[in-house]
Amino acid sequence: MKNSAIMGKLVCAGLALAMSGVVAGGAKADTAAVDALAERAAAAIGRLHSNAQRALVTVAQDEAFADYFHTHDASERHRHKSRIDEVSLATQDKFHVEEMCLIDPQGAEISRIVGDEIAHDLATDEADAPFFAPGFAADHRQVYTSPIYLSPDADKWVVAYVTPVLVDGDKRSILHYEHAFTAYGDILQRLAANDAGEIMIVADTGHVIFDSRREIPTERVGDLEDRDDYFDGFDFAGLDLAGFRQAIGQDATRGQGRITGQDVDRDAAFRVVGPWTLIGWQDL
Amino acid sequence: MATATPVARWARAGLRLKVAAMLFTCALVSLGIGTLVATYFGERALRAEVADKATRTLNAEMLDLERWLDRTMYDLTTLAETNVMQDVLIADGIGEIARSLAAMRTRYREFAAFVVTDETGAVIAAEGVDLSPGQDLDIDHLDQSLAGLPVVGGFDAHPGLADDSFLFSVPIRAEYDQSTVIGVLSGTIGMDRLREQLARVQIGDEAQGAERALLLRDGEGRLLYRTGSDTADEIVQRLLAAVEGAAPGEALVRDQGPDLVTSAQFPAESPFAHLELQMLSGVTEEAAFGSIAQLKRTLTLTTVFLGLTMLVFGWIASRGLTDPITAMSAAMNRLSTGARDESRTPEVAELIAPSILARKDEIGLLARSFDGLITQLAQARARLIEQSELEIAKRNMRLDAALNNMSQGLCMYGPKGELVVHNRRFEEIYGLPSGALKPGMKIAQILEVMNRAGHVTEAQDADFISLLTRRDSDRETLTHLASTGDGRSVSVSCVPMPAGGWVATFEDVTQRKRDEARIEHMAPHDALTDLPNRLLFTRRIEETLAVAARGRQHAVLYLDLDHFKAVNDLHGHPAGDELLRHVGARLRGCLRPSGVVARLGGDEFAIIESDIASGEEARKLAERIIEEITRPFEIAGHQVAIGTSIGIALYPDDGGDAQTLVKAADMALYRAKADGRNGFRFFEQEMDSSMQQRRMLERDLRLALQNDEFEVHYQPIVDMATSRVSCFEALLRWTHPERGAVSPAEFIPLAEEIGLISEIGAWVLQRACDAAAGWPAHVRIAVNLSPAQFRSQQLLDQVAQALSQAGLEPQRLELEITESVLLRQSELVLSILKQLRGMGVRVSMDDFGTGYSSLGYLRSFPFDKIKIDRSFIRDIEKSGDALSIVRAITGLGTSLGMTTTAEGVETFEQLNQLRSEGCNEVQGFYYSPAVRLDAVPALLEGIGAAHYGNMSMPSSSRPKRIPA
Repeated sequence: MKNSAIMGKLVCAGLALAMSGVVAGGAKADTAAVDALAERAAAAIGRLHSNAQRALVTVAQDEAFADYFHTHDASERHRHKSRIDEVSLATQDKFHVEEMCLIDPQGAEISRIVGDEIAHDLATDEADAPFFAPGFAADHRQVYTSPIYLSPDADKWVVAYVTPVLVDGDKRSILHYEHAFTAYGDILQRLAANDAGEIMIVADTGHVIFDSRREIPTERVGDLEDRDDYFDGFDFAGLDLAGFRQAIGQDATRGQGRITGQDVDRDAAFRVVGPWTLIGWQDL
Repeated sequence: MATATPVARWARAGLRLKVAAMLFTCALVSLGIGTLVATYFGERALRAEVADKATRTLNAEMLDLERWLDRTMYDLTTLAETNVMQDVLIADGIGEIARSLAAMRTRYREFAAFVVTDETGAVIAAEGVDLSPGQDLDIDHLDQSLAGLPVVGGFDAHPGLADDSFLFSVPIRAEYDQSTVIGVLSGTIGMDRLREQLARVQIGDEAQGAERALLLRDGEGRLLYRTGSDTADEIVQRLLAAVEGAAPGEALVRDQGPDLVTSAQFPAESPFAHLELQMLSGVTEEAAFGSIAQLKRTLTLTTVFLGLTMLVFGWIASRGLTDPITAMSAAMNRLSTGARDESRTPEVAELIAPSILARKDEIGLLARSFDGLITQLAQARARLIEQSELEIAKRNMRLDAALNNMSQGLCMYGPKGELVVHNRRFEEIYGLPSGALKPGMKIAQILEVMNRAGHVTEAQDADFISLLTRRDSDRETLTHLASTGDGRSVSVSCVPMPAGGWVATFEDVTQRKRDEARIEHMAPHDALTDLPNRLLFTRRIEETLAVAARGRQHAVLYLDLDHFKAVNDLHGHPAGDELLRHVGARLRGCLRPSGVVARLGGDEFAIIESDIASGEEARKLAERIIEEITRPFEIAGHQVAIGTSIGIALYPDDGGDAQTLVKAADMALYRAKADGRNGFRFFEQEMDSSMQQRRMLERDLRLALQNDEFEVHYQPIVDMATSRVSCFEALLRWTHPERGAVSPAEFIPLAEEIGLISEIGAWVLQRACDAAAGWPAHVRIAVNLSPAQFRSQQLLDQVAQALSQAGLEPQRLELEITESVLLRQSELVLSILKQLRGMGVRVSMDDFGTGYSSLGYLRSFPFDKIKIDRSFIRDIEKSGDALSIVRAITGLGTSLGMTTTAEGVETFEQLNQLRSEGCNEVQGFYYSPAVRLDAVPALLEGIGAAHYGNMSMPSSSRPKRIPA
């Protein structure tokens, strides 16, 4: 059933593409407004990413982490672990982090904060987490930003930020925290409210993970983490994401233009921020 | 008693008083004017300066206020550009902006509050003010800031936000696009800090008093600041009253009432001009310009003090100036008094005090100059005297030298006839002893001295002296010829002087008189013989004729000495002169006392013998003269024999006047010489006609050359060995258009006599050479030369020119000369002959055997040819002497290597005889007379042929010799 619906959408998109005319760089004034909206949305999302990454890298430089790995004394480690917990709490308080944890190379959590609580049920299988390998692969002071995923601990759709913690030049652990995706949505929703256009975020997977016209339900549905169960596929006047970006893209990261098809005429613009494509658009 | 006017009193006042008064006056006037001007302009400048200073101060404060506002705006803009402000985009999602505002307020204490709003005016974060995020901020200029402009609002425009403050707002620009405003950062500035700053502003000079105030108000008239001091209340009230009613920003009138009011506001281009802030300052008149009154008082007192000082100084200084001048003035008076005493010049030390001379200033300089002037005057006076004395001595010496070296004697007499000066020459002329004459002596005294010296005053001398002494008023020069006691003549010339008296010059003219007498004698006399010359002779004839009694006869004799030139040549001119003197003496001895003998020139003499009885007496006289002259003379140890020819004319038969008689005697002499020398002839009438003919012939001869009446004929000379023509002799012919053919014997001598022979000879030479150039090369041309041609000294050039023009070889030209050529000037002739020979020309001796010393001439020059005179050839057949001579000549020619040519060969017998005697060439009518040029070729062809063998011509047709 789900496959049939997807196939149906693809067929419709193909027909729409076949039937629609795409005009890049249409009415200049409207297109520019939409482009400005996309730019502002991208700047806001970038700002959030930047703040989160800066906060994470700043925290990762705290001496508590190095002290923890420098000692082999259990009591000392416990003391340093408490210090790490305090740093994490302070960070969470400052940046509204949903969850923050420190994970060693074996995938065992050393510290974890969820909400305002210090977790004691530290997991040992985080090595399977999608951010684990990219986190350790990141360079010093570099942050890996993950696609949204449904956090099992926060039980929310989140965006994870991961940076390696170096001790004497060795990546002894990764520091990871999660932002609730709603924080991004709220910002974009306000932007869209202040402007005439609409905003949406399309993930690399082609799912529309934010649309300013409506609220996307992100409540867990059973145990499923399949995005299709939560998000619609991108369909913009019959165009999928690749077609859309190709239709108005000036390069791989940005574009603007007018798209006509399926009885709609729209000015649209997009910016690519990490795994997301932020689209501003407006019906003519 | 008249009272002197002030002007007169001032004129008489002393220099000291004048200088002091003038110094005082000048000082007072200049200081007074200076004070007034300084006060006036100083006050103006000071007032302007105070006002300007207040304005500048106020403007500076406004500028500081503007800078303060600008700096505040800058600070706020800087804060808005911080990175954290970009979180406006995410509504300060992580609270970074709020924390940043708190930190900023701590750091920027001038800001009372900060507010960050987004583009909709919703508060993102706030600090220092009670605003919540999401709350809308309602401020007037938010839109301007959202449009990108930094804005400051009016004072206290947002009481809800902040009281008593200014609100600044700046845009927050998106990092990704600076043209995009994503929010606004606003900050409030309280007035407290501004008031603290304004309280430190100084208005004018605080030391001048506290009556000053500063106000700041905005465009709505709200007073933002006023000077808080209680002492300024009054002026603040006056300032508020002054600005009452004035529009905001309106410039207030300065010097308002008792106060100096100044205002300032932001310039229109200021970004804060819209706040319409106006700053006012007020200073009371006394506080602002109190220093000016003080300056006036000071200047006035200073002027008075300086004036009095200048008066005292002027009085003292004038003394220093006038005292030396007064002293020098007195010295000048003494000097002028002393100058009248010519014996001495006052010393400087007597005139000027040494202390004045020692001064270093202009007075000292003047005194020293005065000293130098006196010294120079004294020196100049001494030099003048010395120069005058020298000049007088020099002039006296010159006068003495001039007087005593004059060739004339001189006496200068004064107006009263007294002797002023005389020279030595005067004493010498009259043989007076030196010192015999004294200045002041009268003429009579002088005459006494002269008489004592032997000079008798004759009557004419006395007359002259009398005339001289009487004619004082007559200023003409008088001359007199006096005689001395020893018979000398003295010329006296008296020249009157303008001031009276006269100057008499005396010149011994004795020798001059003698010379004049001799000259007078010599003029009509011959210098050599002292006999009368032609002039005197003519006069004597006229005198004789004038006094001749009727029926009396007189004889005029003209004499010409024969062979006199030979005497000159043989014995020299001195001997000739001596001979002439002897001749004169003998002639005088032949005459009666009444007879006159004269020398007319050269060897010509003339005699007039008056009152002769008849021609016979003249004849006897002539015979006696010839006898006397023929008698040898003893000259310089030599016996000299000459003769004389005499022509005689008788009065009245031969002429009634001197000219006719002289002419007749001359013609008779000519005839006598023509008839043979050493004889006499009486004048005959036919002599006159012959002379006339001769003159006509002379005229025609002169025209003949230019009329081309001459012609050259050529007579062949035949070589005896070949019987062919070897040479032609050129012979001149003259065919007169009326006379017909004129004999060369007639015109050649005449041509020589009148000097035409050189010209004619050159013409013949050229024609002959031209003709010969066309003949065979072995045929020569012979041309005769006249002795006169040698004397012309053009002969060499003429020969060279003829040869050159004709192109004839010199060897083909033979020049024939006679012995007479060598007879005169033999050295010159020989030199010319040698030069001709050097040119290659042949030279022949013509008419050989008829001269005086033929053999000597043959030795003197190596002739190429000897031509035997025809007289020997004519008689060769009948006279044994002639044949012997011809034989001797041919033998001589053979011995000397000379060709012998026989002239005048007319018969075959003569020819044979000559051939047998060895003669080389013959010439004569036997072969041919002289022929025209066109007949020459025939002779060249014919002579030597058989038909010419018996040809003969009459000897009378033989052409005369012509010179070439």
